[in-house]
Amino acid sequence: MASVAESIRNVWKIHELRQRILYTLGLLLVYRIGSFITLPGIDARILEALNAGGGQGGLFGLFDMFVGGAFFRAGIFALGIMPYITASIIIQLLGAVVPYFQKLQREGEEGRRKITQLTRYGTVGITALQSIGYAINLQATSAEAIVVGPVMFMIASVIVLTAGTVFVMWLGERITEKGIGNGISLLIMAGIIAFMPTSLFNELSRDGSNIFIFLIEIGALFLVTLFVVLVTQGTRRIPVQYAKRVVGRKVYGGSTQYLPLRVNAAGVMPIIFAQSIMFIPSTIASFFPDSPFWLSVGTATGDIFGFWYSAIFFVVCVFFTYFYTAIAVNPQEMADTMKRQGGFVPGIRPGKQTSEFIDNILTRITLPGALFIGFVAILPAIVAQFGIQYGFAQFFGGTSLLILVGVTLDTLQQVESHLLMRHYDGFMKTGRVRGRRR
Amino acid sequence: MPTSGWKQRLDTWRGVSPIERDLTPYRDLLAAVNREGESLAGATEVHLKDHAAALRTQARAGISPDELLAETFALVREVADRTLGLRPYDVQVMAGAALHRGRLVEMQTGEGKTLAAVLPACLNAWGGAGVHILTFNDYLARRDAAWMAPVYAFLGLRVAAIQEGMSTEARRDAYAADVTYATAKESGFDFLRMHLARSPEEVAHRPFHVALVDEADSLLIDEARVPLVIAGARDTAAPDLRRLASVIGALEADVEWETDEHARNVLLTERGYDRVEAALGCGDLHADANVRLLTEVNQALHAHVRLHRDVDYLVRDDRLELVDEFTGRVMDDRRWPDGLQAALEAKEGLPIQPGGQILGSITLPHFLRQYPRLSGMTATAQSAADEFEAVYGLKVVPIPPNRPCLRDDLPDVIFSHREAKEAALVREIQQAHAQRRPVLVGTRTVEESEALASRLREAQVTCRVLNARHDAAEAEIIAEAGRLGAVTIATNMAGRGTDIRLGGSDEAERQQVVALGGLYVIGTNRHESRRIDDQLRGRAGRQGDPGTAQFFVSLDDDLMTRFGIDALIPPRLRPAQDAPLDHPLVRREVERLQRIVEGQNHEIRTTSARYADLVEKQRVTLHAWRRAVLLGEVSLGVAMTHLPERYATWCTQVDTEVVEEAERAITLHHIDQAWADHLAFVADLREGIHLVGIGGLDPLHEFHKQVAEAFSTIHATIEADTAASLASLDRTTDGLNLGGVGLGAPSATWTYLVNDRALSDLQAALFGKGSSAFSAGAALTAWPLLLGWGLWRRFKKTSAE
Repeated sequence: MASVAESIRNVWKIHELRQRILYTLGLLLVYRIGSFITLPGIDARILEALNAGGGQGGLFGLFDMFVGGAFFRAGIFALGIMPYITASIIIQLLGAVVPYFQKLQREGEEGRRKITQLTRYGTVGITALQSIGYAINLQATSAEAIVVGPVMFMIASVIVLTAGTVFVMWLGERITEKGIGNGISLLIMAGIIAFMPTSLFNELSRDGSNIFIFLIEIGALFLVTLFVVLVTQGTRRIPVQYAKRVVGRKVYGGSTQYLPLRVNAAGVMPIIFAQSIMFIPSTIASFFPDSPFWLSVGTATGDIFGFWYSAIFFVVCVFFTYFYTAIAVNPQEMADTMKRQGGFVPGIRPGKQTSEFIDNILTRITLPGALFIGFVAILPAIVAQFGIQYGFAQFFGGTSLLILVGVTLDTLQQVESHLLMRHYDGFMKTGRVRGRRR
Repeated sequence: MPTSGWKQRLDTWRGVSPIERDLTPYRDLLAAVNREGESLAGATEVHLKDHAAALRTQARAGISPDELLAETFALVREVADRTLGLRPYDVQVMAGAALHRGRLVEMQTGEGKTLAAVLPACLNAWGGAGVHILTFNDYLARRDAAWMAPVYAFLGLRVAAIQEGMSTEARRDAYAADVTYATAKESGFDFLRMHLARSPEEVAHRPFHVALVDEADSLLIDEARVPLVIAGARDTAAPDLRRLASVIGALEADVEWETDEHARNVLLTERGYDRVEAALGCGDLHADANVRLLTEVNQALHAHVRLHRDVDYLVRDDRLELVDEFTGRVMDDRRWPDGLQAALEAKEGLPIQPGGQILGSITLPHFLRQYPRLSGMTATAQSAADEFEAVYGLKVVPIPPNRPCLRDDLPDVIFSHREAKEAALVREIQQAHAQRRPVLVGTRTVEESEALASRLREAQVTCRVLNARHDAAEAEIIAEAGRLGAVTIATNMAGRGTDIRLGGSDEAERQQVVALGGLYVIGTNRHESRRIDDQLRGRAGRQGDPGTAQFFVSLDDDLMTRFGIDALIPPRLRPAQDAPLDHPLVRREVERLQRIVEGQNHEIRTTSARYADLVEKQRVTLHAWRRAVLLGEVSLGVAMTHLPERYATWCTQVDTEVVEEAERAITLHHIDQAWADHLAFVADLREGIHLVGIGGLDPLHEFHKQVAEAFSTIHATIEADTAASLASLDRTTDGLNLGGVGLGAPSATWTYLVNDRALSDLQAALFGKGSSAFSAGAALTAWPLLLGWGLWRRFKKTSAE
């Protein structure tokens, strides 16, 4: 623990780093404040009363988590940064398919600026569309909370939501540029963390809980987090040699180079895919309220902490991990890249042999990775069996925990990079250099 | 850069534009200079000299150069008029003022940058802390110093020029002058050598003060990605690579070896490996025991396929001579790194030189930033203004020409294939020659220049060739190039800094050439950036002369194929015809390709810079310490702490000074050795670090981590090695004998041509990389799209096999 304090002190000592961290925290604060401001024409108290009873699971619940609760609260940041992400994905996909975007991507700085610009315009367009949908949905589900006329409400919502998302996008870009870490990720993370105080408090004050049990729960959470960090960082290192440099008698290029294959290469994606898919059966079931078959399907897949849901969820997660790893990690591409740069795995020829070798290892390490993902996905359901409340159980696994761990690791890495760059300022003062005339 | 007018105004208003368009401050300074100048017009020589002495005294008394600007500029103007017969124009005075203010000045070719630079040079030299004028090549350093010498001499300032191959003493002397003309590279190499010095006498440089960089865009941008590297011989026997070279030479292209898309790398195919393994009888080349052999095979292949005689190098007097990519000149003491030199010598059947080790390295941007005051000038700055500002903090100031430029820039003539282009070139030159109009043809390589020359001679056109092979006749060829009927085929030796006078020195002939339309510049290729093209164009139309410039391009030019014109204009859409492809679409795509090249080069530079920054910090740290050791400012005490008994004995036998001296010499040796090892480690790490990106880690971060870790032990290593060397010292009658510990400074040093290869796989793919929260959000909002894309991408990759 002493070393942690030491590190924090070091971080604080570096002026630029301190500035960046404070800047980031400041903007995140602005974001959080904004997400509590409701849309014009909404009576927040009525809306809160309406939401208090209803379950908040499903995809909308997930979405709400990503935007820090502003979705159900009908905040001006209800759509958050999500349309921006959608726009970037679409532009990226276009880059793979449409020649015009392909050319832009290759044009370096100038092209990139254009792509950024297009992404921003795309964001505005997508937000406008989504906010129409959002307003319609709100009118359908929470009409009582809306205190102005429908046309007025629609116009105001579209304008305010679009402006809100553009503002959030700007916050994210500012953080990336002048703060620390990736702005978009930090905004999402801030939204997720925002649920923590409430759920901690609720957990502590629930029936049958006391401070002792609560501390055990916190301990368990700590262990689970540790486990997730461990697996997230877990890599299998394949040694790679470069036969390019002859320096004197020494051929450099021993074991320093390696190709890291991550145990959890797919990250959080399979869980999200699985959740999206799991949403389908209960939706279909709701269309057939009379069929006993669909009714049973509906109950089995509707209770997200139930046994059947969890069992199917686990299997789907494992499947998607394999599936996703297969499409995302391409051993052949890796082998080709290595070959182009003159690298090779000792004892194995570049090209086909190498790609087969990598493929083999990948298949083997994906199994623990997939089981891990499945386990983390259903962990909230497991801890819920012990009576932990829904809100708090969320932090025991699933998307929240993986995202929190992922973003924290990324951000810490950036802090570390800053520290490394400044490591040498103190070299001359190590005591080895003394004045000649003592 | 196609920026619309209102946006430019907005940027200027917000103060964010890297281009300073408002020249009012410089006009004000000009007015002040003119006022001062009035009193000097009739002054006697003695009076002017007294005035110079007075200014110098004021500067030495601590008055800031800013306050002396008007007086100094007026004086230099007057003196230049009297000694050289050249009176700096108003625009030159404004350029001089902008230079003094640390700007990047854009002046058109032939507007007299050399003279403009003298103004701020004198101003900053009064104080006595050397001004460096960094020229584009050695020839210009020599020429400019000699040309401007009378002005400096009149003002009581000493001027000198650094040339390749000068001794350390001569360099010291030249750097001690008030104004020193040198190439940036020479100055940089002297900086590197300074950090290998074993005694204070070997340090040539004084502390840096002011640098004025000529052809700044080339030095600060194009060459920024080529680090200056100094290497030394290590006593190793030269390997015999002849057999290997012959095995590799016999391989079949595209079957046994292939090149990648941009032809940057060449690789053996499966069949190639089979054949080489069989021919060498070595078993599996990728086995651990064969790493060295495999390295040699790779180098031999690279030398065989990628490097071409008369393009990349010349063979003269049984030696390889490297042609500098940017200046088109032969560089003395320049070699290829990493065993490539030996492989090439084997290929050419030349005696093989022993290999070496990199002892020091610095990038040009890092080196130039050592100057507390930096400014630059060039004819082509605006299109790179963003980069000047971002990397060097230099704002671009475009100075209007003294007389408007009358050059006629014709649109490119684009052909579908090279033969058509070459035939058209010959016809075009013939035509111009028939009118006796002077023609300057800019080619890309030595080989191309000579091939074109021989075709022209077949067509009865007499022409002269200016390339690395004929560098001795350079001045004379250039002097004749503007005369009636002259046809000059040049490489980029004539691309920058050459001043072609119409009609040579004959005024009557000049009028005739003007009547014909001035110099006709033809480019046979587009270059890697628009700036380089513009430089070639700029050879015509100097100082309001008429002139014409035109480029002839074919779609199978090296640049076009290397950067993927096929993707922009599919071959099936190109008619195979001898007539030019006169279609706006073709022209647009050719221009787009050049933008792609510029973009990629920019990418390489920024990436390289980010990787080089940490290592530069380490260099600064280590060298600060080394300097302290060299000058005896630190007490090392290695013997005292590590070998206390010996130290006690020595102290009774010899003076403590002697022990300290020995310690110092040994420590210096081990610092250099440790740094060289560190550089080798860094280079090796850099080569493969992109692999961690595949695994979803940040390559730059991993690189930093490993480099920092390696450096953290360097001090201990140096001390331990020093202690070990000290332990093996003998005491002789007159002190300690250092001969036995092998401290020999490197027997020869030379410079390496290192070109950072592109990291082709830098695009942060969403898959596998990118931040987790981002991809989660993406999955939530666009998962059907993502799944579809993933499948499509995977399917496409597999079906492409």
